[in-house]
Amino acid sequence: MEFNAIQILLVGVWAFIVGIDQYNLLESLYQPIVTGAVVGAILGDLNTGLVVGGTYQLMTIGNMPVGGAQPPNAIIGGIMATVFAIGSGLDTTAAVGLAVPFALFGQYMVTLVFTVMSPLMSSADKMAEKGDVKGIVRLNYLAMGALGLLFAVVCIGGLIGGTALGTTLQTISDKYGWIMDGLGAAGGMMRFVGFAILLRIMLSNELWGIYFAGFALATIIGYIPELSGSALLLVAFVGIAIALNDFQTRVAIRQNAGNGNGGDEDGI
Amino acid sequence: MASNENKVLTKKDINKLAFDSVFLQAGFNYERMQSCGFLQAQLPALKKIYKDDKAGLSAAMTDNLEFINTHPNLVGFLMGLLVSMEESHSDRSIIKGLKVALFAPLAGIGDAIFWFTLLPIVAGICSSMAMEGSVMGPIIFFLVYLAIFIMRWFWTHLGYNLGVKAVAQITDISEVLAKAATVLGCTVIGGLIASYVSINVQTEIVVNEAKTVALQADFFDKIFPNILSIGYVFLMYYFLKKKKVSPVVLILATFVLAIVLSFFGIL
Repeated sequence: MEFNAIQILLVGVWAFIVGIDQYNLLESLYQPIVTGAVVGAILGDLNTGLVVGGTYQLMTIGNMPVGGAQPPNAIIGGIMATVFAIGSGLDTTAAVGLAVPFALFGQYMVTLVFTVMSPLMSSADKMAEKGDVKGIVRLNYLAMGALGLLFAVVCIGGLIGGTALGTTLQTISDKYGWIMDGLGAAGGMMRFVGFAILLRIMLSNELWGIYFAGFALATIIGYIPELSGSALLLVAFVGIAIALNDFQTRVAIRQNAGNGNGGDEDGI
Repeated sequence: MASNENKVLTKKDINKLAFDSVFLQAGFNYERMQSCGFLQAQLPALKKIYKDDKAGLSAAMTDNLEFINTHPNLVGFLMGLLVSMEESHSDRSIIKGLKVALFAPLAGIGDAIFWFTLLPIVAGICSSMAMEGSVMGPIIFFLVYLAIFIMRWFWTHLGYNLGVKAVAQITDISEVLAKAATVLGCTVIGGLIASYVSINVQTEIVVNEAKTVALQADFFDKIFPNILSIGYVFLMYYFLKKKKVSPVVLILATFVLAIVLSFFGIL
């Protein structure tokens, strides 16, 4: 089945919207169950769209982009699986299989944008220094627009190039996959620069101990699989305990100093 | 440091803040994660609070551009709380300490509710409906998430009102409270470093046919897990604070290092 220009354009527009929606806006349109139905409706076969979207959605449960991890992109995967199921009349499993290289490329696009945006944070710092409100907003829109556009391009390419493009993409990703692995590793490490910037101002000399205590506690909790999800919440509880103690001690000291009686609580 | 007299934000401003919280991840990047969007959402309120005070606005913007990674659906609570503190011109280190202390636990709670509980249930039910060809599948799914979206207004007002109430009580002891907030913040940052995807060295040294030493499992993890993560943060901190190297140099150096190490199969 050949698609006409309007259909291709509409799928491109949809890809642009959900490319942004995966991180902003409603954060639900991009899920395969919705996207499958919409793309199905555009391509004139709502029923197939529903089935493929539902199937793909079930697959993505348990493979979620949580904590900065990037699994193969379910958005482009969902769109292309629907396109192949309707266009080539394939059954759902085969269509999903053919969509995998596109999903992989969707993931690459995301990695790329997140990587490129990292050094741009120093221009954002300069804007903050100057109080340049518009600059920050512009930077954000630029990033969102770039992501949406890249998604639209991959999907339109998929509609026109079809499964042949998928094979090409697969070859490219087999050959140059290490670059993307490298970008992924770089992404993980760049985060630590972000942490160091946070610490630069906050960490005064007397707080080093507490900082390492938080690290140690989270490391310990992280090794208990049942608790790893709530590690930070538990660390925060301990942090609150220490902070409260610190707070009360300081208030007591201040009150005593105010009384000028040198701390009668000591019983001396 | 007066409190309620300088109330400049109206209900409408908080509503706008709730809506703008959708931009949380707009400028997402690996170095600071959601900071750019976190700042953007608060900008209209900050502009109103600081008006002609360029220095104040600039300080608030700089603080909010620092690393943050929290949950999009709940972030309104944090934004509302922080904006109320900005409005009463609380000590910067209280605002910052609270932000750092709260964002990660909020992310944990949000992930548990939305990703690990709600999504599997809703997606599971709606997917089976869709697979039987029912349009109600995607529609119900969409409506559930629309409800979650609308909840943003509730969270943002909740955070803001809580902050306004608390602020009246804390101005007197703000200096002490700032210290305590920083203590809490530092504990959580220490924890954050351990909980994020760590540096994982792939290199293995072959001693003989019977014995291979995997650097990560047999060496680094034996000293203590996440040693490379905290070591690298420490190194970056050293360069930033003591050597005054600019962040962008460190970012690019980290980037090149990671790619090169990955090329040689070390990472």
